[in-house]
Amino acid sequence: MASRLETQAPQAPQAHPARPQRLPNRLGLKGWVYAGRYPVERYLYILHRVAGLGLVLYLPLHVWVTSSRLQGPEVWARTMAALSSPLFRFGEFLVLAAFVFHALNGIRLLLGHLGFTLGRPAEPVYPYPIALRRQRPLTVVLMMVAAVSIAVGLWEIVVR
Amino acid sequence: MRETRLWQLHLFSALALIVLLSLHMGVQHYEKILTGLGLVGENVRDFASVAGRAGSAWWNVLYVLLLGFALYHGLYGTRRILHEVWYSRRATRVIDTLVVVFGLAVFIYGLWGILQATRMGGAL
Repeated sequence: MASRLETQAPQAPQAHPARPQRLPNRLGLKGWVYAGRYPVERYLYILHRVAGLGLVLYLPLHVWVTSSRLQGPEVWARTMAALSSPLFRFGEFLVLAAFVFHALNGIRLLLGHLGFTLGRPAEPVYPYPIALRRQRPLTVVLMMVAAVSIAVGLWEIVVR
Repeated sequence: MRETRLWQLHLFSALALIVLLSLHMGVQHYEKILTGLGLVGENVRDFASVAGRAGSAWWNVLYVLLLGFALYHGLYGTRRILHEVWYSRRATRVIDTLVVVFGLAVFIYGLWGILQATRMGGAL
């Protein structure tokens, strides 16, 4: 009686041997938006991406809406009147808040990418030094500036 | 273009946007404070004000740069996120093609609008 191994057909060679292996992604979208017990900077990074995607979606709409100025003062005035409803004003506030947060958090990310806020390399002796702790003061300052800027922007939109 | 160059351009566009977009958003959304400081005139969204900026070469250069950098920066970031979500050679090619086509289409439309508005601004 042939063993199980002998009865199996030999595997065909892969059509695309250089094709990257598809790794299991058991967390799915949750793994993309949930950072578990990582520091606050990891959640700021997730929010950075969400804000960026929102701004990308808004950009073509903005280009399209502002092109209504080409049709003259009446059309422009009608467009501005339509955009002055509370719903659109709230949307305008979200765009402003997304930009302010994305820009200021982007400064932190940019400095990290270029190596300015990571600190000097050190021996991996427990407790291990964490680069994010070095940039925590910068994070706090930038987020405070973002909060104030967003609050002022909200005031401008409300009183306009 | 190699991926490293694309990423470096992404960082450079971020720096440019911090300056250019802050200027644009500041004028549009912090009007009362800037008017109080005497930096901009009132009613920046009135047609006369919009047409006045459209007739200014400086503003038009700013808008073209803003459009180009914002589209590149935003679509590069979107592309990287999409590559994480759909990871295969075919998906990479499809995503890259769509991003380039979409970016060029919006840029050409936006550039056409800015150029048309330049004529409008000059006519006033």
